[in-house]
Amino acid sequence: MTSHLDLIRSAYPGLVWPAVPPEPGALALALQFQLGRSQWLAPEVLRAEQFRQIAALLKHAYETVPFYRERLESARFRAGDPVTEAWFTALPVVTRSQVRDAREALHSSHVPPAHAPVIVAHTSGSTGTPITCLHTSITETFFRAFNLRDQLWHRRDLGLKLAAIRSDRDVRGEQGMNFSGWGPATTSAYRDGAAALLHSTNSLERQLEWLSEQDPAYMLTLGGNLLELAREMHRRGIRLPQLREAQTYGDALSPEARAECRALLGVRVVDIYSSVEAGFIALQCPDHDVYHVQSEGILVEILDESGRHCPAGAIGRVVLTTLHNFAMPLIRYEIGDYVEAGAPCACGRGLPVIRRVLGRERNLAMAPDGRRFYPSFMAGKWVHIAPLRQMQLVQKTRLAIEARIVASRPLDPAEERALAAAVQETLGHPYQITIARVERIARSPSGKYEDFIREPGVC
Amino acid sequence: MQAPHILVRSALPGMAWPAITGPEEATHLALQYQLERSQWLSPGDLRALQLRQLDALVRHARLTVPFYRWQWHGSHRSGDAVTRESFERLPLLRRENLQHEFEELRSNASPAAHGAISESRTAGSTGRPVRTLKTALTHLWWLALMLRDHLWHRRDFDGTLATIRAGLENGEAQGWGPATGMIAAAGRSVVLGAHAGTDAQLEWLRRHGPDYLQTSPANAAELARRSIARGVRFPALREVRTSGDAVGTETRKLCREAWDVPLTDLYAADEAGCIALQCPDHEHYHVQSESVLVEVLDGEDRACAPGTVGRVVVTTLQNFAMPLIRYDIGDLAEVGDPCPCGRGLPVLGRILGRA
Repeated sequence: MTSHLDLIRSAYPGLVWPAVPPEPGALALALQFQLGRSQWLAPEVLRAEQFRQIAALLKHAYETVPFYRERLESARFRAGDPVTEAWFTALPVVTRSQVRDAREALHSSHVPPAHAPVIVAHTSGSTGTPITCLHTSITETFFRAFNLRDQLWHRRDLGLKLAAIRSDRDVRGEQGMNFSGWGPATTSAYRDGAAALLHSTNSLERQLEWLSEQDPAYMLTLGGNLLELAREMHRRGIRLPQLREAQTYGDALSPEARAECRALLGVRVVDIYSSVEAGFIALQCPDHDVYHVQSEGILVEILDESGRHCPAGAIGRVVLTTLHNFAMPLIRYEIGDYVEAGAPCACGRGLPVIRRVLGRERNLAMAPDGRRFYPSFMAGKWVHIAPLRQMQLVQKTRLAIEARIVASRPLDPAEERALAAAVQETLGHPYQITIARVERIARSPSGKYEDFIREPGVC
Repeated sequence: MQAPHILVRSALPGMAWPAITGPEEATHLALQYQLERSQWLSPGDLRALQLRQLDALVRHARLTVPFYRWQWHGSHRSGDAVTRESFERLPLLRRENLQHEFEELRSNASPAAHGAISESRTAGSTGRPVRTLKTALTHLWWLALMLRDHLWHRRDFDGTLATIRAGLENGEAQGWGPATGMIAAAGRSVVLGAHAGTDAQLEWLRRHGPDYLQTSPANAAELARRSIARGVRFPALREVRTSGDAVGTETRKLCREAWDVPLTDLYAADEAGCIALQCPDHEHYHVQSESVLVEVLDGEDRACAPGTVGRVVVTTLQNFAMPLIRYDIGDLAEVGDPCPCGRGLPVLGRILGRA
């Protein structure tokens, strides 16, 4: 039964169904009750509710966070006044480096006691700007609520096994760790199944072995890692017989890569757009291959180069405001990601749509004329040209791109010419392509694979 | 059409939306979360889940309620899992049993977690009182189903709710009471004891200009007739909500004619709590299968087919202080066809009242 109603924990002896869960589970379901309804609100009603919450956030930030005090004062903020969208979106954007440099000036001097404890988290700094952020019990509560919403949206059977290969959990060694539940998001309210966790620094070989041992119904890992695993499993004919779905997070998976994973694994691939700073930003729609912004926890603006809101179909940078972080509010924070704004979803949910998550600014290519664009390519489709295992494109100048390849043997000149031509054709510009054969393609410090990197200074 | 936006009251300052509720409110909403989903389960899934609860209830009754231990002697063994068939072989519980064997029907081990036990007593149409025991948990369920009724019928909690009912004290309060206590709403409720005459009631209604009126079907009909005769209108009124007696089509028609509003009925009994609520989209009723199991039986105690009328037999699923198992409540109802609204909850076409 995918309604999960048979798995809810009961705080009352003899009460099997419907169960009344114990306190943390009741709060989790009370939030799901609200989220279950709010997802269908009209966009303007959602917006109005967000700004009601933002008014409370700004008041708190104005009174207790030095960094914002000044900014809000210059914008003539008055606590208690309603916050309009027009006024709010005129506030200056906060960049990652500003967050890094502001340090304690971004911390609230008076975190409300009900938000305790405050938890410190660090971003990996894959773009060279590691930052430290603070979370609270309230942000954790919402984090778990969106996590549970994801499980419920995708109708996962919570009683089955989940295996996760992650870069952001403190689990070392080749054995990983075993858990009796999927984690607090589900375990508080549901009698969930077992879970196992392995760190993504383990070799592909070991990951495959471990996955086969675990034989999970659901697996979760970084997007790039899933692609590697899927290819290797396909190459070796390894199957995970119980697998129903693969979930990805972290590095943005291109539609082509997602389709490849789906074809190789034979299961749905569902992505999550999240970050250390802001938690869940957008979740994949249960019915379509687009993402829904988690508006009940976050305000997402997608801005073009001149700071205007992008219409559907346009690519822009993500500027976000976390609605419930009263320890270190992020107000119009430019996280450094680029996404494509989407049109309203056919599913009927009022939650705004992100069509594609494209990655960091440095993952955008620059055309010879200076325009930036998202390079979409699949190294896999060029295997008939050359024995490629992996490829990464590095833009060195506006006109020059280095194709780093992992191949089973050196390419001959004809293959190199054919590959260069294929890359030029795919990118749509006559870049000067040089081919460099490498032993391996390094992952970023956070364990992500990047298909395309524009080197600093290319502008 | 999607559910209307309701605001939940937040227990934490600064957490305006979505609300972080207190533990008690969270429990209410956790139940509502389940009810919103369970209503759409297929009849088969609902029955399977109900059977699990029934199994727990029957075991508890067999072990701790002397009446059942004696009555079921030989017909149900403690170790056996309850099946639909074995359940339907259990003897019926009669009103007379409640009247004469109250002590034997008490559980000698109501779980402490189910909360304080209270006794309720109805005069009963025959004049002999019927006493039953309730727990804090059954009260929680009553409130949950009342909230479901409000949500189903998309009531605006900012409106005024007027209640006219015998036995109630006149009064006025902010909010609509405990069933909606967790909702941040600006509405108020006003109460009038039904001993006031019809004209006095109309005057009282005119003064308060309610959005919703709840009263007995007979009183609603009388008020409507009088309104038509006197040309009294209540422009704010959106709906009449009734309970307590059978509602005829005539009463629904009168409410339309008098005030141009729909009538929404609910079927509840003091012994069993809320049994069925009117469908949000139709005039028939949905059994509240999450809380009661309802059988409609013919003269030979066989299940009635859709379209036929039979005796209502209820089993209360959460009452562990005084379980009512296959209780012939004394009402007649018509079995309905599955509802086109898509809810899997069984349908009662009409509630015909006392047999």
